[in-house]
Amino acid sequence: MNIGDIIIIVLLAAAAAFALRTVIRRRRSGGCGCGCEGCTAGCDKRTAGKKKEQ
Amino acid sequence: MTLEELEIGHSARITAVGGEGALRQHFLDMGMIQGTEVTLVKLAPLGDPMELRLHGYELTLRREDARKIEAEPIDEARTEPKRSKKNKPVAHPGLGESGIFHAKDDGDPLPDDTVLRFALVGNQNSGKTTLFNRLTGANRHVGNFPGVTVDRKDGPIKGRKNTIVTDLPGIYSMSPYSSEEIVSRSFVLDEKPHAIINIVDVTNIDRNLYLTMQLLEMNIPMVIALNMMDEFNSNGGSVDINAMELMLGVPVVPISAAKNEGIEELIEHAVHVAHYQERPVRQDFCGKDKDGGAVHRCLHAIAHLIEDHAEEAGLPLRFAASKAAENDELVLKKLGLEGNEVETIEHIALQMERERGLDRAAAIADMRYKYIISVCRETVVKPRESREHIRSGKIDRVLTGRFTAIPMFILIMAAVFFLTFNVIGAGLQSLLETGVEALTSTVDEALSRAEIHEVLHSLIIDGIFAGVGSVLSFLPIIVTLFFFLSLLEDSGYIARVAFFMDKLLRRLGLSGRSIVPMLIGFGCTVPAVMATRTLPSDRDRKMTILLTPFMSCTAKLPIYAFFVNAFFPEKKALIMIGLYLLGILTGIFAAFLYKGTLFKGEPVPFVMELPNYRLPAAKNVLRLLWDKAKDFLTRAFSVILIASMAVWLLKSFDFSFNMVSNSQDSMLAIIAGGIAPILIPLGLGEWRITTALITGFMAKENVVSVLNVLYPGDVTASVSVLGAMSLLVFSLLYTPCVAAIASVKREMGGKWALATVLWQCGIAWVMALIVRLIGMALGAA
Repeated sequence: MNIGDIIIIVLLAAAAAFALRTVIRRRRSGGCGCGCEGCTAGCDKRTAGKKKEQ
Repeated sequence: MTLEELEIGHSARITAVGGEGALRQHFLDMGMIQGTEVTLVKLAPLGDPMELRLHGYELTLRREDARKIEAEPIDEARTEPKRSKKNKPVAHPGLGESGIFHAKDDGDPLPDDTVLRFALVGNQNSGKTTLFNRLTGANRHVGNFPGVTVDRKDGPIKGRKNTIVTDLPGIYSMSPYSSEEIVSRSFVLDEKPHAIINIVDVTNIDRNLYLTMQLLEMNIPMVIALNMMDEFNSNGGSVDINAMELMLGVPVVPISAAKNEGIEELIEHAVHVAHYQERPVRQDFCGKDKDGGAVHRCLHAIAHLIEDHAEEAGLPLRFAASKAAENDELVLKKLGLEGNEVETIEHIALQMERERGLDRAAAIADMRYKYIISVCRETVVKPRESREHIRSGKIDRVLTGRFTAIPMFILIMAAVFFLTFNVIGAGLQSLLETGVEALTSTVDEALSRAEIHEVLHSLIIDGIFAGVGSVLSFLPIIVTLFFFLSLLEDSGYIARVAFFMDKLLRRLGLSGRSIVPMLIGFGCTVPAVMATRTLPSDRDRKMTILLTPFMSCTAKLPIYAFFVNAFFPEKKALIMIGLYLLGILTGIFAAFLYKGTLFKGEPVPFVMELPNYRLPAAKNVLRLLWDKAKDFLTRAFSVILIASMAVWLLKSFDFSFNMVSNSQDSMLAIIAGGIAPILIPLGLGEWRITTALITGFMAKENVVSVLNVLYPGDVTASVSVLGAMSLLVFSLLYTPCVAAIASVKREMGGKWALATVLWQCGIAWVMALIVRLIGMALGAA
């Protein structure tokens, strides 16, 4: 395994971790994230959080 | 006579409003009250519904509902609104500014660190979201048909600390008619914002002020934003702001949300009334001298009777009294009245009905509208017919004309698909494809030169580049289709489609309004499911939600394009349009099935406002396209990237984690091979196809990326033409992606979501089989 392999592995691992994080975040926010701001039950969750803060 | 008997171009004055329940209340709230002049503008191409003009705006109504409204003919409707006499100038009342209720820096303000909460309330399509974007700097999507906003959204006012403004779905009155209207009413009633910003479309001021009158009864500090003043003034209209402010008892600020005019002044006033808790000066508009004072006595008597209950329930007294008089069940329940009190209210209301000669709901609506008319008479010089309205009339002669509406609709949709798949989208796609291919070969060479390990090399080229790269090239097609859908939506055409499709959709058991979510479904199923919130009945809503997956979403486009390019390059457009039509036809079949089984009953009445056509704002369209492109790219580099890597991993290794030379021995082949027999009758019993279809559940674009990973060479070598047809039909109809199913779950519950997955897979299987059998019968290979 050369240095190039190691760099590639690190880059791939970072890309996969970043992609996974995006998927999880999106899943938590509840919407498909397709640009529709009216989306969705995720808003209820956020609103509930805000209500408590206020 | 009834309104149904009115002839095109003729006018009548309403003498009685029939019907019952929420629909009747909705009629009244929309201004269909005794004495209102109504003109029949036109009938939809199929003879129903009707387009009526009243209070300066257009409303659609079905003939069977029009039959419930009695009217007397009048010779000629007032084409030119009567101009008010010039009144003496009124001194600026200075509401919402230091000096009227209190001296500067005096008064009884809330603590400085209080987070001021504002509710943005107004009629549908009055420009709330445009104003919200101005106030907060947000990029929320706006459209030009009633009901774009279906959920609330919060944001701080730009440059103002400790403020939160909430954009709410549009409502016509505080008697909610559809589910998204309940969101708005509940917010104002239960969350008690520090102030209301009531946005009023000044070009349609009579009807908009009806909601204002009810908001004033809430006794919450309020500012009125008179929106679209630019359009109003340019057509010769004007408003005596000082006089209006005096008559309504709250600050009135003329604005143009679209042109960013008057926004700072609005913010100043809103923050002031919220900070100092300056409530409306008056909430009582009944007047003891008006129409014998019957409504006045009724409302005041009820107010005295329920004062303690209203206080205990935290309801504004005037609002509670008028709702109790109207017999609003939700408010009555909240008040928790005793039997005696309920009976007393009933007696008071009956007496009022007898004295007034109208039932309670009509009498109260009439009282409000009479005050509105007096406000408008004193303060508003109505413009001549606006340029926008004249232009809309001309366009409508073609787009909703009796003989032209449906052919034009077909033509427009065909043009949209043709331009998307054959001209603009396809042209850009091939450019991007070339770019992706060039990048792939460059990276491939670079990896070879750097002597990267063959496993990593294969993962990058055969996994990531083959998977993500193949999907990326479809970005132009998707963005182009969204561009056209956005044009249709923003121009106001979609509301017209709902108008002339109502009669057809009623045969399927739906109302014309259901067409809006369905058209949005061609873009993405998730917002389509959300858009069903504008439908006023639960039955229509559920039925429409279940039909949206039949409208082929843009995420399926890469699948179609992939197979059409590989198998039917000569008949690209034909196959694409055929697939869309097949989806629609299967949806129609499903609608008939639902109508006769799960959702028996009648669709809701079709009462909808028709907005003027507007030129879509370039900024708005570009923002939407950017959002869609960004989302697509995010998906490509998240879920599709992960799926491509996972599929490559599973197809390259066996269960002992040894790299396999033949993917038939891989983990994936063994796992997918267990499910593949289900698809054998469809000619799709190959494990690689099963895998692609399963990953499509995460995101439809995955199907193509996975096929590219699993079929490194030419897919035509492994799949027959008939198999490709069968696969296209199966992909068109099988379960929507996980995001869409999640939205179905949110709207209808887990059981319906699961049923949707199973039902869609079942129907896809059957339809794909039928296509295969037909193909075999015709001798296709």
